Amino acid sequence: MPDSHLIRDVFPSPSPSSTSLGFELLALDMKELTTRVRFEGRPEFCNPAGVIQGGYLVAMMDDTIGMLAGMKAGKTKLPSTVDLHTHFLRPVRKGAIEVVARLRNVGRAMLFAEAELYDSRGKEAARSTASLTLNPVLKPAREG
Amino acid sequence: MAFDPVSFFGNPANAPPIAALLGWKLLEFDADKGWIKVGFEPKPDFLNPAGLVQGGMLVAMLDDTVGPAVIVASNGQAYTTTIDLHTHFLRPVKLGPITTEATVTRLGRSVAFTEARLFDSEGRLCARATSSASVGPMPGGANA
Repeated sequence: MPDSHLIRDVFPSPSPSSTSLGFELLALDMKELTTRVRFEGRPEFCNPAGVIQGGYLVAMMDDTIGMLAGMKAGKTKLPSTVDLHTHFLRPVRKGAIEVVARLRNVGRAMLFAEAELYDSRGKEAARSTASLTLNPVLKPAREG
Repeated sequence: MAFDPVSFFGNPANAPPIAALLGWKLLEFDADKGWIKVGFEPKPDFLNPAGLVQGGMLVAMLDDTVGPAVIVASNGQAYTTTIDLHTHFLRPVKLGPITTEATVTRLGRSVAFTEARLFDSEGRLCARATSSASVGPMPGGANA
């Protein structure tokens, strides 16, 4: 929780993708390089089986990892996801979803991150690992 | 009666909420080759802080291509639950129409293996994914 207030320094307002996913920052610790974010599993994210489409779960994990990487990179560098690998452990019904993410390795040019996604009952439902490259920012991270 | 992907995917009963949200549209298919081409219409609220289509949204589109590819390849008999999905993000994607293609590499009795590619509005390859999915019967049968 200690660093949650810092998010507006880097991201003056939530991005459209964060807003549409119902992004809500629960905790941010830039010493431990970890964060916890709540998302909203909305009915319109559901697939034919009536559960949240896997890609949207990835979008939530990518949004969380991207935010954490952006906080670490600051205003002068922009993290871009190079690859993202997700295992889907169990289906997720609509409702509150939480993602915990952490940066495992931080280099000058690359970041490596991982995230877990929990359903409304707190069960681990998906897991991702990602690599991100750090590019110089041509324009500051802009508002939605 | 032979399985007809056009009438199957054109049936509102087979159009999940996620398809409407992503602007999903069947463009072409070849059941014998296990190949499908899909169009998407990203919305402004899919954008990340850099003003580009958020990577997870691209994964949602790739996920929503590999699943239907298995439906087409199995003549409407198989419905998939994604086990894993690995995406490489080759270049950023600006707002505009997106097309995807997926091929079923192997359709086994219990697991389907697929590959998908995503192109931006100028036809440039922007993302690539490989996926595995468990195969089960179509919910509610395969009636188009």
